[in-house]
Amino acid sequence: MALEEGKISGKQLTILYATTVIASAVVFLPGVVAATAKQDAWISSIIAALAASLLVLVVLKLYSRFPDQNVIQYSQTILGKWVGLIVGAGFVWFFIHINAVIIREFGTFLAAILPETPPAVFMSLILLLSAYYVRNGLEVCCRIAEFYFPLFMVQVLLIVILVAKEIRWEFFKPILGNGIGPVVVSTLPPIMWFGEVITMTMILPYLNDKSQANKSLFLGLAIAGITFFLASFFTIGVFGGNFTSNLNFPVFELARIISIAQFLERVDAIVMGFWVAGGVIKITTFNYCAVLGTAQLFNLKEYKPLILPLAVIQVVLAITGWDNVTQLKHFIIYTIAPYSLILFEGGIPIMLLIIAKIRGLGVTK
Amino acid sequence: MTPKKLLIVILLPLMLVSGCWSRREINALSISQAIAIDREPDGKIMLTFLFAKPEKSQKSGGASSSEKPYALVAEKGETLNEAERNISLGLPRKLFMGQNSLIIYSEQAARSGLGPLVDLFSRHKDFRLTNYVFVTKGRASDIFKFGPNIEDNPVRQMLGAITYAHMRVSKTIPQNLKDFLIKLEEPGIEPVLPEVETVPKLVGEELDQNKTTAEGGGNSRKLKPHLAGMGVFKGDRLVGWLSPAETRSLHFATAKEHIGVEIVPEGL
Repeated sequence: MALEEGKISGKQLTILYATTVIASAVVFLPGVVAATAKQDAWISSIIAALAASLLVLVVLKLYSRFPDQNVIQYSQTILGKWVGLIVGAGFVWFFIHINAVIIREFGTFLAAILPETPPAVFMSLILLLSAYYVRNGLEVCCRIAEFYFPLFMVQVLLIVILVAKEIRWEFFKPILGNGIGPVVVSTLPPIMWFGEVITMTMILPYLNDKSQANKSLFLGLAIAGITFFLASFFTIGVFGGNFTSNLNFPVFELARIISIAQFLERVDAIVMGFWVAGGVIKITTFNYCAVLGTAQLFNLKEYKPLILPLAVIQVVLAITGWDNVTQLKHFIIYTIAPYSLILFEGGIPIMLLIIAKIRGLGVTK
Repeated sequence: MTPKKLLIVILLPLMLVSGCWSRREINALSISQAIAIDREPDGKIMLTFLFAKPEKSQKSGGASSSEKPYALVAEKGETLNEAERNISLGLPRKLFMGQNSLIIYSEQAARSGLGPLVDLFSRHKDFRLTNYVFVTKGRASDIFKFGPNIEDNPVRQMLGAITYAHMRVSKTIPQNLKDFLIKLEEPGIEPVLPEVETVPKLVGEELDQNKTTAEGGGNSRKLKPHLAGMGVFKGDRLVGWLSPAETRSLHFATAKEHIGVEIVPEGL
């Protein structure tokens, strides 16, 4: 019996990938990128999306070789049972660890707005909801994402339209004033965000129409890239490079300064609601991958008993992992981006692809 | 009872006890509308809050119309943050600054450097970057001591003036917290802040003299707020003043639109 019976469409795959990337990207990323790229953050968003298309390509190549297997399974096919098991366990750890980062991000964000509530409450509630989605299977997760995605996009577009009048074009100058170096360095965190396409290796086998995979993932990347470009372009245009890097939640500050005719003001509460919704989708994707991966690793017949224990592990990891938001930001920029790019999002998939090619494994036409 | 029914019975009361953890009722809040910041001669920071009294601003109450719909509360501290916390020592309600719309610095504070005096506002969750920032010659807390004429509250009057004045005369440039912080951070741009002062009312402006003595506010009713030029900063320190006429030149120098009156001498 298969672990997951559900089937999803290409459109659902696009939406799941796009929401997974942008839900936390628009919260944190413009400030993170502006810390190194300053006024050129918008350029680095374009470079990052182009560079990340290579990672998407690797995932798709692996998928075309092993259309019915996910990353846990084909790493065992490619590397043999024991090495494959270690790599698979590494991926499961990666999903759990990244999810802890994301949960902490959203906990921190909500706690910054509602300081009297302990962050642990937000984190537990978000993960409890996510666990419920995962329990109902992949199809339910995708349908929830389909429901939230339009709301989320409308909200992002509304923010940028309403603050458009605040843009000062001089903040973009000098373009590439410090050379291309800082811009290239600053693309690492966004490439890592777009590289979360690795979660899609767990979901691709359940795509109902296999020919849709290429189109769906690249469309998802394009949507995420454009959204992230809008977010960084408008934060730089309104706040300038130096001030943006000082803000923890730049796009949220954008929403807070919206003031149209002294009437349309203080929309930040609505914005926060949509962000939490997006965050739940993102956390659900990672949670699903972690749960399904663990079940596959241990050859279980069912993944439902794993959901609650893994949820507890992720929340505890999120609470105990970092002391404060500054440490979290530093960790995201300097530790997790190189670590996940070199290992799980870039290095290992490329290595798997090369070894599969050499050994001639999988479907080859 | 089946387990499912039991679960419903347990879960239903939960809906009644749910609520907002961080909720704040309006009658448990002191809603600040403006903040004035002075630096005392001994180096301490003095914060003066202007709090709205929503229950007094309703005209329908009618009982004590002479009572002002706002109150001033001041507190000292070594730093801005300490002074902001100290204010709670004598405050009957929880401090809420989400509706704050003006920040006024005294000349002494501005000359000693605004960096440590603006940091709190850029980080505090209540504060919005849309707060307007001013400097004033003399004490900042004295700026609220005028009798508002059209609005019932000094803050509303000053807020209205800064919102609309720059569309008619180029003798002032509104600067909100966002503009000020950006100019502090960006290399090559130095901040300017509009100056606000209280000036004596002109002869034709004074109304009902008989009521003033009873309130004890005697002199304050003869004053009105006035926007007068700009304070110029180097880094975070105030270094000089621009007169209203010079502010028009600032518009030219920074390539901002100039909407004021240019007087052309006759015969040119």
